Amino acid sequence: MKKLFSRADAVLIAVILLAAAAVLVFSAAGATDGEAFARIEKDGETIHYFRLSEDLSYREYEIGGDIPVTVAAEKGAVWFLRSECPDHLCVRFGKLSKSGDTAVCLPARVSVSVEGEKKAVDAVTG
Amino acid sequence: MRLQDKNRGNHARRIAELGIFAALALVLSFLEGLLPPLPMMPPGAKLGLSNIVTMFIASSQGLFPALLIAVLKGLFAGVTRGFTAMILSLAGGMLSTALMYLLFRTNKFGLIGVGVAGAFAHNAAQLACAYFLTSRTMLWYAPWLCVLSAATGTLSGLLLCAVLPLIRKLERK
Repeated sequence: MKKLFSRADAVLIAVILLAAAAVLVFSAAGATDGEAFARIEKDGETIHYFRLSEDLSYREYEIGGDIPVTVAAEKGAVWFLRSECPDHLCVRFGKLSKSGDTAVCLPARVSVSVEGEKKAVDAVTG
Repeated sequence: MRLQDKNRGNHARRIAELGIFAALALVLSFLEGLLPPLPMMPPGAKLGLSNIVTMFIASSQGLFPALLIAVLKGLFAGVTRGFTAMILSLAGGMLSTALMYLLFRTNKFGLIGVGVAGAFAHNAAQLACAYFLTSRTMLWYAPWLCVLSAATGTLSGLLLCAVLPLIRKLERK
């Protein structure tokens, strides 16, 4: 009979959770403030990069290819509006506004992400 | 632990059983697709219920029958959800099946540990695919997927533990 839980299991789960916590703390420490920028990539190449400022007016970016997608942006947010892909997971990511938010459409190989300006380490002490 | 002892067992029976379990895996992955998306997780993150089937087969019948089910699941994803889904399913399914089989062989891990490791391998393989297909920024989800693996893997282990006595009962008939 297989056992349900062992000491090795506890160690494994602890390692996975600690690694996740470490990465989260680390990325929170490197968090950005100030203005957010949107980056739209296709096949790993940046095709649009713009400031997500508060006075940005609504716009749509048509991205062609085998599987065409449409990315929309307005003040402070960017998101997949439409996609010809089979599952539409990319649209379900919803609006991205915080630094680090990322949505991808894997079939179309398009990703949309929000980035902040890197906080200078010196600014913390100042 | 084999499904049946070697004297009684015959080829046809094993194949029939494998067919039933393959069908079960496909039904579970289809039903799972009907569930609402998990909060805090990227869309597409799932409970991995059909992994319970590959996990059981990996422990009872060995590596190759389990890999066969993973491949069938991948092809099913390809037919129903498209090429990219197939690549993701194959990568995640085969890596996690192989890892679960190896951990069962060590005899050090329980069902929960194997389930978590399998879920983790599945997520890691899919995140790696997303990384190569699109962009680095997907890696933001890595820590959340770790947390997700711990939760869904534990669920898989508990469910398999609950179902095992029932499967054993069927085996004896």
